[in-house]
Amino acid sequence: MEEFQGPANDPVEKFLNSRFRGPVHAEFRQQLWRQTARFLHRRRRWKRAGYLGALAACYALGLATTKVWLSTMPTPGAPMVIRQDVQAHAEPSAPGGPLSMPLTAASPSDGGPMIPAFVLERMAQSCPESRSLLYRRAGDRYLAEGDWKSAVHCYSRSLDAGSPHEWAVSKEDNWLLMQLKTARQEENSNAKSAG
Amino acid sequence: MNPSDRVWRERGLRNAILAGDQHAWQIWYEESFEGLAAYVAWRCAGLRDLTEEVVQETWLTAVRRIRSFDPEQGSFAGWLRGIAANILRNRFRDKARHGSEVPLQNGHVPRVEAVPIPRQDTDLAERIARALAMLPERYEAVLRAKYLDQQSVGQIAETWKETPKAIESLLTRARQAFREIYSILE
Repeated sequence: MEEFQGPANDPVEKFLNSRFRGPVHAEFRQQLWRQTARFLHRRRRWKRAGYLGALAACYALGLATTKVWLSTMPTPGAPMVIRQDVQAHAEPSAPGGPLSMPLTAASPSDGGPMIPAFVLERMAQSCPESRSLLYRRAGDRYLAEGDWKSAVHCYSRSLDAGSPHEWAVSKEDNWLLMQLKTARQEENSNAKSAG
Repeated sequence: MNPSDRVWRERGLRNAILAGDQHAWQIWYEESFEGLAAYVAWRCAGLRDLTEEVVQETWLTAVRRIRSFDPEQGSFAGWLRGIAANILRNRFRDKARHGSEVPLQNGHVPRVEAVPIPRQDTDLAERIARALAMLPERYEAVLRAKYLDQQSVGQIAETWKETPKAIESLLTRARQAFREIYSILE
């Protein structure tokens, strides 16, 4: 089954039945190889440079992030002042306009400025040795956050965990703790007189 | 080679080249150089200078665009042939537009001393090459299979999953179209 063949002098037929060889010159082949290999080499170098650039950019970004984070962090040991409108919550002996009362927030050495109140509370539950102190710090934190109910709960637990001589009001106490200590003392004296 | 083996192997080579592995590129280059050169020589009807320029530009294009080669779409050799065919088509189109030969952009390789071809033969060869470039892809492919790759009608039919009768008819039509285009260019 062979196909049609045209006349032998037909250029198309002559072409179709000719044999052609590609460039066989070894120098041509080698030089072309070097050209393509050079391109690959260049591309690899660019790729590496790209990786290194990306790595350097990540490093610089990390440094910048750390710098920004450090600059926005509160200075360790600096007192945190909480302005409290005491009209609604203050003692009856202090009527009048709003008072501002400095409350010392926990310093990093007291449990770290970043430790949330509920974590301090949990720590207090599992740490009987410093339970009183930890509850007090948790109470301070709750008070600073404006969570009065939790603050009262933690201060009460702190007083429960401490000895009765710690119920004495001191000048470091905030208004809420003072109130609770006074109430606790009154309760104690009432119990004694009733007993 | 099993088609899935070929795909697997060619994908591996392509990925290695993309990662910058020169050895993988050398394997492909050595394997495919002769086949591509023979194809281009056939497509250029034996015009040696043109063949070298097209071979060179094909390889430079291939190394630049290796990322776009998809082994699942076809073999590396087929992809190279496609690039070469496009280069030739563009070259003839530009030449027709400008009326003179357009130098290749990457012509850095020194010209190998060509065997002098009489002017008349050069014109004839160029007409053949232009006629081939103007042929529909399927006609060009069947002529290539028959005359360049020296496959029999039966072999082509088996590869293309067609009947020998259909291939025979396709060959006749391809030759006829080739001859017609050639006579128009004459």
